[in-house]
Amino acid sequence: MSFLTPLFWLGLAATAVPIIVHLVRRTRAPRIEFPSLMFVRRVPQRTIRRRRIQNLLLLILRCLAFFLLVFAFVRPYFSDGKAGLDGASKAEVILIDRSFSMRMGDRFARARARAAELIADQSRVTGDGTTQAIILFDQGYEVVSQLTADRPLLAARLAEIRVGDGATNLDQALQAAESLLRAQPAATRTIHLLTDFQATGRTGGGTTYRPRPGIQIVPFDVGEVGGPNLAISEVTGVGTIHQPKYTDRLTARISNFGAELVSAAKVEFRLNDRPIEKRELSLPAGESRTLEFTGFNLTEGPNQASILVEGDRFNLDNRFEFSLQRRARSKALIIESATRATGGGRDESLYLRNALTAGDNNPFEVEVRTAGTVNPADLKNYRLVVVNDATLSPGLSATLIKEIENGLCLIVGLGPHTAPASFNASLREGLGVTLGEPAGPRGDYVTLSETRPDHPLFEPFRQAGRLPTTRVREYRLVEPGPATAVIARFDNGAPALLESSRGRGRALLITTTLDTGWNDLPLTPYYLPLVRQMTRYLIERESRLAWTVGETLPIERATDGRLPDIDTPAGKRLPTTSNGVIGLAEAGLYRLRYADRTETIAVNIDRRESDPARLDVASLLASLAGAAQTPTGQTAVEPNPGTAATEPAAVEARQNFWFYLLIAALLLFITEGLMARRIRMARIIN
Amino acid sequence: MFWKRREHARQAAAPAHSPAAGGTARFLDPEVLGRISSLELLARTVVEGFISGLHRSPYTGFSTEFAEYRQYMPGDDLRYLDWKLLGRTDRYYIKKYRADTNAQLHVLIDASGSMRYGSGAVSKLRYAQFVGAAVAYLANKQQDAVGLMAFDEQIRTHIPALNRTGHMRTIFGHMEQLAAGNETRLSSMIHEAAERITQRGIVLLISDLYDEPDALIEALQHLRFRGHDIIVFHLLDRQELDFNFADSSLLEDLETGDQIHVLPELLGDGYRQAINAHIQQLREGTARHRVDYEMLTTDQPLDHALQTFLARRVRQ
Repeated sequence: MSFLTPLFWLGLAATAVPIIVHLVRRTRAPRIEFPSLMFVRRVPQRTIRRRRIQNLLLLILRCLAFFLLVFAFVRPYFSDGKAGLDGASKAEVILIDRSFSMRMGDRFARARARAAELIADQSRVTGDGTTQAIILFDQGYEVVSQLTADRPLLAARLAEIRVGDGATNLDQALQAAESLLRAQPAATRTIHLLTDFQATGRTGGGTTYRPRPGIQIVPFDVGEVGGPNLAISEVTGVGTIHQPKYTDRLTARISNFGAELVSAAKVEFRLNDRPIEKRELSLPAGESRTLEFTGFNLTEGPNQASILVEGDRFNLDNRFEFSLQRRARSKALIIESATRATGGGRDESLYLRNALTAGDNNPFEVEVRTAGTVNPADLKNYRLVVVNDATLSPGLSATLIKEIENGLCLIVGLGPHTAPASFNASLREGLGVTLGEPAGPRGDYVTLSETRPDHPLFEPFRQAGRLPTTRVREYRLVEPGPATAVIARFDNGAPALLESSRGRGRALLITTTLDTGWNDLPLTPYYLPLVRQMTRYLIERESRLAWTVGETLPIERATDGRLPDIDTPAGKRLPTTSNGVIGLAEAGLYRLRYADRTETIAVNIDRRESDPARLDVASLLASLAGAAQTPTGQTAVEPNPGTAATEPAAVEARQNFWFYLLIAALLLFITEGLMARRIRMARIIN
Repeated sequence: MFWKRREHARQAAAPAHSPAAGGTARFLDPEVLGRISSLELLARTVVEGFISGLHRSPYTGFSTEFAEYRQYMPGDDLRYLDWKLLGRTDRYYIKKYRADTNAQLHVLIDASGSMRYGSGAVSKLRYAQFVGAAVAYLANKQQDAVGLMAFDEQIRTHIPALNRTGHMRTIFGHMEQLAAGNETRLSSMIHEAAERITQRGIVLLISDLYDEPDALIEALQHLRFRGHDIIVFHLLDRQELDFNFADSSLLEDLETGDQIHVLPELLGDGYRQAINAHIQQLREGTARHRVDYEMLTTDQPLDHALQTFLARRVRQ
């Protein structure tokens, strides 16, 4: 048992005073000469003795009550079993960096050796109740072992740890270690930080760590000022093409993170394990260079590509893997109004068709047909259907909705030829939109003014800093259903562009014409990119060149709705979560094995790990509150004044013995008072 | 008739709580008497004050000049009948000449340690001196021989009864020098007194009687056997009767030095019961053996003591 305010024990000494006074007063009762004690002796002595006994009991009660009162004021508490608050118990977290940068040299091996030393040191010290935990961290953290005094267990867990490919998030790791320590009451709490103190480890985002008082951080630096490190910072380009030759520009940025010039760095572009192109470049310290590759051919389907660079000692980050896809063009159907077709005149789908087929790498084979000539059974042959201001038959509408559920993508342009009654009867429920009458300011126009800022459809326009501007003379009034999202509005607030999903497919509905009937959008430079973005948004899977370790990959289901088997770069079969996502923890190629195909996902390390710039350890610890140097040379975060008091105080506050002691003392005082009164009354009666 | 005369005598010897004693009481108040340094003077003052009180009191029927009255008995010479007294009291008394008294008064004063006690103006021993001196003086005025014996655990002073010039000065002198001594062996001393006092007379015992009643009665019987008339003045301090101590006290026995810590609020009742029982036993015992017993307290005026003596003297 410990005491929070032991000075109050002095109050216990005061309880002796009344006892002493009582005794002294007894022996110094006034001496009175009396002629004879002959008759005094005849009075039964037991009366006197009984009084003494009663007094003694009262005295005991009073002393006990006083003692409990003092005991309450000294605030007793019991330390927890494992780690008492007697100053001899310690809790330690061994925080080991397993990020990619720890692969450099023997950093990770030295960190593990140091951890083994820390565990072994405690093995030699017996009986002090020190507990230790092991946490591995990169961009996240993993608790390898909770706080325990089982040294063999710790050693066994330590032997199993491996370095990883992740980035570094130092603040999150320290926060996790502190959380573990806070849950364990102990006199001393220490975080042994075993890391290479990479500067990018504190720029990973999130909150900045501020240790609470009482946490000691002891660094162990396994890093060193390294030599030049070449790395491929970034590779950009079009991920999917629809023709044999890659005519777009594939760019690769090569960076020199070192402090020395690399005069003859060799860069190689490989495709499907065959060298395509080699370059050589000179790269000054701290600079980057961009190389472009183009004109190479892709085989149909996925193509595995990589960029390699040579010229430094640490070559684990000298390779960048990525995927290029060559896909056949998708078939797109434009359904236009029969009225237009028979009315003669210009082709209202001209602009639309040109937009869909523009460029060498356009993804569509476009067919234009009137509504009356489309066989509903043919819809399954198309990847994209554009209803360009046409009224569809009920059967065609129903088939269209069904195909959307199967993955068909739909764009609907509304104009004068779209009959509201027919639309609402056959497409309202499927698309979640109720069509109204034409509207528009007479003699004036509205413009597109408001778009959903987070919608990927408008990403290129956001980057350009300009929304598509068009003058719209007329538009259809629409009322979106609860499942339909309005992603753009005119400046008068009327919906301009809506999106709905059904099954595996999606639909976009624009409330004005896709031609020049009601607006001048096709005549603006925004028409082509808008149409392309709409089709990409609807159809194209996210065909990124590559992913980064630490990201989460959504897995596309097969046509039968099943998820593919997933193999990691190390060849292990990875379980997929029920929501169809996996965490990318390793650098290399993940293979998604569908029934009819295998897709390859290239995952690279976080390029920040290639930057060997280091944190100044002293500055780091100084930036943490109350840092100070200890005589041993280790840097410790000094606890705030009164920490020793607060930690025991927290334990004592949880136990609250003082309250129960006060209650007991009060009850004793009441009992003593009642007893004393009873004795007095008995005396009077006698 | 004789019973009537004795009864009258007893009534005459009853304490005189008379209004006329106002001025007399002043001279009989022990607190006042305590200021008189000379015991002889004190005795004279007391007696003469008492006598003057007697003259004014309707209850008195005596004249100390004719203190040697006795009741008339058939055959007495009628020449010595006091006719004036008969006229006043309708009682027949025979005057006796001084030469005919032949009474002896033996004053026994307990001078043990317990007699040192006094909660008021005078101690018991001092009061006993007053009483002894006054009675001795009174007796001497009646031509009685007076002797003195003082004792504690042994006889300290013994002056045989004489009726001689200058003898009273000796008596007073010894009486004045009395000091409380040691423990009491009261019964033994009374037995010894019985052996020493050979001449029959009145034995006046002034003591606080701290002894077993049976032993005391037996000792007094011894005196009675010797033919003495015994008057016992049981002299106590008021505090000894009331035991009015307020607080916890350490009582110390004046004779043995023993100490007892007492709580008066618990002890008082028991003590009073005990001492009253003792007094009652003494009353009954002395009455059974025709010993005059009188309780005196040191806060009482001396007239009561004197009247008791006189009543007894008359009977003799």
